Amino acid sequence: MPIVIDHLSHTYFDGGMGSLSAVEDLSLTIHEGKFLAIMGHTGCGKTTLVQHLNGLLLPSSGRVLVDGLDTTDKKQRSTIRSLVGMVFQYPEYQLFADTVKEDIAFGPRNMKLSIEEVNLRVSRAMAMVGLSYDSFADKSPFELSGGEKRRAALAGILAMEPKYLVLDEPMAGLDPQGRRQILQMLEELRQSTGCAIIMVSHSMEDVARHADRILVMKAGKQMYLDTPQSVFAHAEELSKMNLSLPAACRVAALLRQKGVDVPLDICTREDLEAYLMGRLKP
Amino acid sequence: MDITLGQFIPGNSCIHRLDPRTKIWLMLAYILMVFLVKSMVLFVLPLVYVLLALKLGHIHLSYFFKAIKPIRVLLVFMFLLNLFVTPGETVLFSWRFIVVTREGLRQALFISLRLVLLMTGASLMTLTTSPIALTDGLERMLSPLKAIHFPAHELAMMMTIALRFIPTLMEEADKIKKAQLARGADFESGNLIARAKAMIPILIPLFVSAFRRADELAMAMESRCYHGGEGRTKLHQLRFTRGDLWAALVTAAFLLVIILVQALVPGLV
Repeated sequence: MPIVIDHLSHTYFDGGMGSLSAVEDLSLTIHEGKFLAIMGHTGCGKTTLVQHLNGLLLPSSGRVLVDGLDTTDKKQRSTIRSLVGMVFQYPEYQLFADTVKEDIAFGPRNMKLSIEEVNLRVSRAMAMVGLSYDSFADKSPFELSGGEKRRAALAGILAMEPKYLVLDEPMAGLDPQGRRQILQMLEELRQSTGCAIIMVSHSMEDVARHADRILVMKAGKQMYLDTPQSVFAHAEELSKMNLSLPAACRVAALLRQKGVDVPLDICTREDLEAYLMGRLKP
Repeated sequence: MDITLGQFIPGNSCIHRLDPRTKIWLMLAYILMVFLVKSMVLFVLPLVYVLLALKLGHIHLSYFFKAIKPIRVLLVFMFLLNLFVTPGETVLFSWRFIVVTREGLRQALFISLRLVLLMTGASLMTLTTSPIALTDGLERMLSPLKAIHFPAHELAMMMTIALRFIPTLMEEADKIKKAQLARGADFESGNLIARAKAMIPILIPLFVSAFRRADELAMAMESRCYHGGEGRTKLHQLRFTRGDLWAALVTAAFLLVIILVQALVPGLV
């Protein structure tokens, strides 16, 4: 069963002065095992939207159903939170325990799993994020490097083995290598466990390559919801919203100006390369 | 969050424009006034004084009651305690071991009135003075103590920074709380000890981040050549004006009336 967002609106400081509508009448279905990217300008309601997916925020109007469970139902909330894992911006700031393994075990323990199951999940999650159990499990999370901290924090969510994984700009502040590692890890996770991924991101290249669908938001409303190829075909509207296009799209646009007839649905470097190589061959 | 004490309402009334030093001194004078009053009738004077200041400061009367709200439990407790345990001769009411005397009632009313007036007076000052102005004023008032190596500037700077970071840390705490909730943390069930323990995953990251912020702020201040109060000049110089003089005169008049009436008219209720 999917996550169904049905005419969701969220207003901060409702009723009082300075009430602020962050999400307006948004409907969306998030399917199992798919990769959905959410894009939009700062303050367009992305973070507000994703915090509805596990009941951290509740709708001002409309409904959010996670596998048929309503997020407003208090009795279902812990089930919902174990189904929907959420990685916040700069997740390394939530590390608190004495050792890395204790910190990663926090989520699974809250799910009331057996000790064996918790230990199993901790070692699995650490393997997934590429932290070797032998050298990191008993270290303090505060003596790790920035990238290692981020991966340890990610492992804390992965150990809950969620069916849907929500990530709010998981690559912010990482170097290119760190970004690649995280993306590769997410791709592996999706293939091995069938976990759906919902990622807020500003990185067009990454989104173009990995996402099945992209949701573009503008001032709390849905602007586009489509495949990367179709979304990036709206080049002009996107640049008006201050969203840059992937490099491959920009190169394709320049080629089109020079009279090369590049198809509109090309938005990754590999596709562009393949197309151009195909043209070169007689 | 509803903390009236320490909440500033921006404005440009004559009370807002007073020098913060004046307001601090006048508040001390007002406290003196409240403690000098020994008769029920004369309590009208500090009450009129504080209501007049509210009016002149364009502060809505509802803030008078908001200021009392956080101490309402203490107020009731103090009232009952004084009502029942004050020894006296004229018994007004008695039932089994409960005895209420005229003296007890008088004492209870006195204490409650004093508390109410002190609370509203103190919150009146913070409602009309921005935290920055308040710490500026304190710094100037304490600066004579620099002669005996009292760190007046550093103290004021610490207060300013602490006030500045309250909202930041609140926001941070909210973020961390949400992140731990998403990991299935439960802050609402269990007994007191379980709940206190449940706070650890919030408090540790919060402290870590507070120390990190302090470190970063210190670095940022030093890289802009901050080196303490020595030889530091101010963008906004504090200056006494005619308004400050008037406020001082009015306050002095109130004080004088209270002292004189109590000295000359004996046996006031």
